[in-house]
Amino acid sequence: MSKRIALLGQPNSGKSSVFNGLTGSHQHVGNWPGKTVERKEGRFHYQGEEYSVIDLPGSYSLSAGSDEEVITANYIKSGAADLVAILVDSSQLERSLYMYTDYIGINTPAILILNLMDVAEQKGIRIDTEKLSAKLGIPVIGFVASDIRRYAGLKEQLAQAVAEARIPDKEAMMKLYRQDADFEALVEKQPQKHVYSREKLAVSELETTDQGLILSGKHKYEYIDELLKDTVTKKKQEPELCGFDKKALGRHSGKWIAFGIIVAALMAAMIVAAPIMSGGFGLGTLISAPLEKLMISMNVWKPLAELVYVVIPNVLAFTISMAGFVLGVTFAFAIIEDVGYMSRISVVFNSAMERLGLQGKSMCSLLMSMGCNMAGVAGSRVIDNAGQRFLTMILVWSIPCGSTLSLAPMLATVFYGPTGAIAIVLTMFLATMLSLFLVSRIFRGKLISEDDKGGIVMELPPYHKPKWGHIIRTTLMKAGDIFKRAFGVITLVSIIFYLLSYNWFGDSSILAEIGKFIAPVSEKFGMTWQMFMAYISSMVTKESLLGVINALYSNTDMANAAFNAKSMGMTENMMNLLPQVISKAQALGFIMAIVFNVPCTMTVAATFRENHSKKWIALSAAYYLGFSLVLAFVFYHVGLLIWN
Amino acid sequence: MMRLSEADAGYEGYVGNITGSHHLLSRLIGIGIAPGSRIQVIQNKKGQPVLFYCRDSVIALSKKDCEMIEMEGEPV
Repeated sequence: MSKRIALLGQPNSGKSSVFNGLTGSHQHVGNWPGKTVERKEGRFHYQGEEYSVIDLPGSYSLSAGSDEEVITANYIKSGAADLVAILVDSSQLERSLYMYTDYIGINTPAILILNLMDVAEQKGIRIDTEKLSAKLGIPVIGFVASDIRRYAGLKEQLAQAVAEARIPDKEAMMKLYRQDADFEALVEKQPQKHVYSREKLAVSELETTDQGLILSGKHKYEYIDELLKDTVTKKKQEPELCGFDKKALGRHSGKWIAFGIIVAALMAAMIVAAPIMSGGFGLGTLISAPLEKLMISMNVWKPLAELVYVVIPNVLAFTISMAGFVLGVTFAFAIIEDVGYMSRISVVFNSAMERLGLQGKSMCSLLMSMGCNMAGVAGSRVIDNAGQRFLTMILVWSIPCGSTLSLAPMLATVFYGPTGAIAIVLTMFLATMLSLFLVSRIFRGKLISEDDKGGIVMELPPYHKPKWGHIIRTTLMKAGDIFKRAFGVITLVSIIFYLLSYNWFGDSSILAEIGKFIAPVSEKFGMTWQMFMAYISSMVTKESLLGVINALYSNTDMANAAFNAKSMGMTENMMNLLPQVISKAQALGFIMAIVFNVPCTMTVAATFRENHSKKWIALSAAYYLGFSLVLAFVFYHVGLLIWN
Repeated sequence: MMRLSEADAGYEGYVGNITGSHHLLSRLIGIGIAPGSRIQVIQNKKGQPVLFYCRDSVIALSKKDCEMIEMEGEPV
């Protein structure tokens, strides 16, 4: 049996860098049972012995609060670890040692890793690790997680710590608790357990009341001050914002800087994504002809043959391009996060987000959605309470994504020329604001409980150089993960859509028949049945709607055309055709309808993966269907007034 | 009684009592805000979270939550 080492640390303690440095490519990423929190496990070898490493979710303490904290606390309580490696930020010992004080009284052997020693030294902080180790009763080591040369030494020290199995001294801290009148009695009351000492259980019980929690916090920090008094020396420095932060955290300048950086990030994302996307479509085209030949030579039944050579290459192309999109956006935002800027965005947009019932951290999610809604949904993981997080994901659905932002202006230009297109894009942004406001109004009361109403509580880390290895590794892992999941969903949805749009009846499909049947209703919203089908297809992927509308109006095989809407460009043919068959008023309603329709299937699936509430996802889908149809109706009739 | 929400940039003091839901208390203490912690306010602008230095770190805390933190001139 390999020995188990669990990594414990607050966010920003460099825990994931240490995990990656120790385990390299030997890691497995999954989810904790029943939760959407990532579970990362890996292994390393030292002197013929295997050690498995578990990356516990980052949390500020071991008391039960967020999902992350519950998982972390339960894992430690289970006693599964042979050694707990507690990571703290050496440049912020006064605060980060809190996690250690929360660990005191637990009978699993531990080691304290003082990470970011280089930063601490730059700040003029000197730490006497030997003296600290003597006080704590466990090994204490200074470390720099970004320095790959140090990992050989770390493995040795961890192996040694496993062998020594030293447990933190609890008496020095408990002495402070014992000064309180009732503490001894509370300890006596506790059962004898294996992993948690009776003192630790008593502290946990004390912390269940508000007053007890405050008192306990006070004792823990008193103990930290006592520990640091003669082990750490530091230069006194005046806390001050750096020049850039004075602007970046300004009320107005901060918003402009954030806006500029986000635009730059989205552009960078597109530069990363573009070659992958065109590669994906290239691959699709490349394999479709040979597959067609193969199917014909094998004399396969036509509907099945078309399924193989039309749908499969397109599913592949769509999935790769989608993963490329997500990869680009995730990469750009990972850099912003890693250098420490993300938290500044949260600060400057906090009050705007508070109006929506959220906190600043939600802003980053909404901004990522302008690249790709799916990335925005995944980005909501930084929000530390479930209700606000779910509301953020539903709000993400309102944000026009990268493909919408290229489709809508293109359609608008065809009908109204460049000036009209600008007016439509502006209207679109106003409607986005309206939708954000409405969604928040409708859903916040139900989704955000009294406990979830917390505002922003966040550390602003100092800026530092991006750790490229870490950024690239996590980005690739996320994109790979999304590719795998997306492939399944897109395949399924595409097959269904194919079956519905196949010309079973000579020159008509199931979709066309349904369309004609409900035409009297859809016309109230200014949509011909062809447009309505395109609107429905925009729920699968936004890109497919052009193909559908083209197919239906030019009377070609719909299934084929829908799936062959490869690039998001429009043929000249179509540009001439559309204004002849669709009036300006109809087009206006239609553009609004497709922009605010339920987002692509992938985004809905991603939201479901993050929050397994069928009911709320169905309700949000219903909202977006309703909202987009209402917009279609209103704008169609406004259009009639303008152009008739 | 002065509250952290009312403190201007440059103010220095110590955390006295803190109030609020159990959830909030736990988050505040976890990030270093407990009775006796020294706080130096860096920025307190209208419509923005208060930025302050506390236990080696720069913290951003929403104004509403800052109302829950009473400040003292001396450590309690």
